[in-house]
Amino acid sequence: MRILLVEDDAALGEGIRIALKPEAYTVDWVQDGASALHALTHEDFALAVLDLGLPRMDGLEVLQRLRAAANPVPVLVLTARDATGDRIAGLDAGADDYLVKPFDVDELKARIRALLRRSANRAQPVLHHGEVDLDPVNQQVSYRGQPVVLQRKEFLLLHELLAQPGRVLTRDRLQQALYGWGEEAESNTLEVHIHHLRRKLFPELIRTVRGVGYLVDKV
Amino acid sequence: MGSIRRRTLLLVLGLLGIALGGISFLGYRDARHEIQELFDARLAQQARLLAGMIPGGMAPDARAALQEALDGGGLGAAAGEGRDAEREDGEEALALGHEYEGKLGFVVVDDQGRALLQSAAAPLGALDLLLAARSGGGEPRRLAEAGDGLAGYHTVSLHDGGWRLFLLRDARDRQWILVGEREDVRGELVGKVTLRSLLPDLVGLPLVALLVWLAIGWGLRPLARIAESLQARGPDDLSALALQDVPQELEPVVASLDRLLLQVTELLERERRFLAYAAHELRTPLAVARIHAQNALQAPDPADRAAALRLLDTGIDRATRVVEQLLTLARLEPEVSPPQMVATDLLALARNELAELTPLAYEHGQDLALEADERADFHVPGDVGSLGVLIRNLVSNAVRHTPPDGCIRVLLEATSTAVVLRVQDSGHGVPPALREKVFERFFRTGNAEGAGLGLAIVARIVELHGGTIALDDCALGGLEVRVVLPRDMAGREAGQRVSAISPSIHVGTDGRQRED
Repeated sequence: MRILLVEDDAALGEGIRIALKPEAYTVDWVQDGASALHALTHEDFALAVLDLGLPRMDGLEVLQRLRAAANPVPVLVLTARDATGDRIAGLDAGADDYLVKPFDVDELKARIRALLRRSANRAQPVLHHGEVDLDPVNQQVSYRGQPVVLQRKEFLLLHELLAQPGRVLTRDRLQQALYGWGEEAESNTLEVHIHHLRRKLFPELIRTVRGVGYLVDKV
Repeated sequence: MGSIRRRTLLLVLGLLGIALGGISFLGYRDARHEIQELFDARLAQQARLLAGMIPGGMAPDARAALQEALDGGGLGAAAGEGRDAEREDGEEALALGHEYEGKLGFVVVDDQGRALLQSAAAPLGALDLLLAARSGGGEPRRLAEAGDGLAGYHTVSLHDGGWRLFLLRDARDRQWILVGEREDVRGELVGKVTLRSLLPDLVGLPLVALLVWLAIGWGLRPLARIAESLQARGPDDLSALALQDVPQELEPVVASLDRLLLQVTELLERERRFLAYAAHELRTPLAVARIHAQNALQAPDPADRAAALRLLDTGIDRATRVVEQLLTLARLEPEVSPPQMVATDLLALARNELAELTPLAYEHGQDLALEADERADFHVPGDVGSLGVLIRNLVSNAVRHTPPDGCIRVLLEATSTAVVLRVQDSGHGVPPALREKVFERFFRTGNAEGAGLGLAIVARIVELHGGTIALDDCALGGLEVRVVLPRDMAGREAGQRVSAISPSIHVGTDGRQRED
């Protein structure tokens, strides 16, 4: 799961990045509205955490432009503007959730999980796929009721695939989900992680679409 | 001060009473005068009538009979009947006659002073008194020698009170006729006449008082209406009174009240906005502090925890700075503390502030310099503390927005009417479109971590000093902030409440600079 953090305040952005690090997300961070709009338009993100008071383009405008371009990415607005009118304006502009500073880190994490769940059209927090269960909250995977120990990247990859069963995810897309900006992936790492997943679970779980990418069948 | 109604009523009644008293006194005097004249005329007529009726050669027995009648001893039946009728008419009638008979009287004397005929209450001693007064205290002269000079009106004081007399000399019959009546007869009449004319006024006075009381109440009704309108409003209602048909006398009061209400409303609105801004602006530093605190708590290893705690510390520093700036801004409200305007040497002040800030600039690897003509006079009337904040904010702003190895210049220029302060930097500047916005509270450019209050504070200080501030490009490549502070505060905008500066202070505390 790849998340875009839009926060102009360096200290706060750094804090959120550190807080989200242990979670099963790849976090990319921009500090102004124009960059945020560019990133969200041109790349795949599972969710955006958006501050409103931004240089170069106000957060509200970013939101409006995104929605005008029919971009459905879930957006959690993070702002110091706490007046009811501001919340309404934010939600009406297309925000999916609204969190007022100063906020509790655990609440932020829980809201991010809830938004991701909802955007995947699921009510259950735990992903089920046949005999494979993936719990994003505790970052645990089990197969036939037995816990399976996965590396962080392996977990991210499985989460991405299980979240969208029946859909072919391109290599690029999966690379982006695993590695944020500035993280250089070796060319065959993706194959290595897929191989590990097949070995730790069962080989038929992940199918290869030659030359395109990978998919998990619908159950 | 008591009630206006009572005050006015007492005033009106008091003046009315004085006027009434004056009128009554004049009336009394006039009535007395007229009555005196009338009575005097009657005395004279009576005397002449007696002189005509009593001849000098009157037979002694006829005179004795007349005297007896006068003494009341031999009243005829006809006379008695007349008296009965009189008794029925007058309440003061007595068995012997009328009590006023004791107050009227006459006497007829010959030249030797012998009484020929006299009434019951004749003013007998009066003739001797008159003669004595005539002789100037010596032996009383005889009437015959007194001559005509003694005739006429006299007022004497006898044992039974004052008498008004008329003395007539009957030269033909060589006798004197003295007619008189007691003064109190007249006094009583004058008193009664005056009282009669005064009575309606005295009875009317309470009625007048009542009417005046009601009239004042009616006249004060607009005041009562304003009071009601003020009492009726809730404590939060600070809208204008909006009264119609305000009487001219109350217009200034109502207008002042409305103006005051407007000022209070504006002040409250400003306070409310400020609080909202302050709350808003404190949220981000608090969010920073909180997230790093929570990260520290959740950090898996000591190194991460230490890093988070360091960031927490920075976050708290920032919150502190925001609070300090908010307080500075709040203190710059004239309502909070009126600035103390004294002649301030901007050059000395700038030097001190730059000395403080130089280490910061060096830290950023920047070159910081002050340029000014040492011989010029840089005194302006101002609040030393505020002007220090002004310079500090402008320079530290420049330091923050200038990349390492950049340079910052502070230039001072003196003109006859003002001192111009320029702060120039080689930073990235401010685009013209944003130059108005940077003075707004909490406006920030880029990802600077200030509170966005620095320039708002500067703008407020400049405003308090009646100066102007402008942003421009400069030769160094970055921004130039140009502040003009006038030497003469007289040109300041009206309405700003700052204590006036007396011109003598302009000479400055440092006389030597002035002599240059």
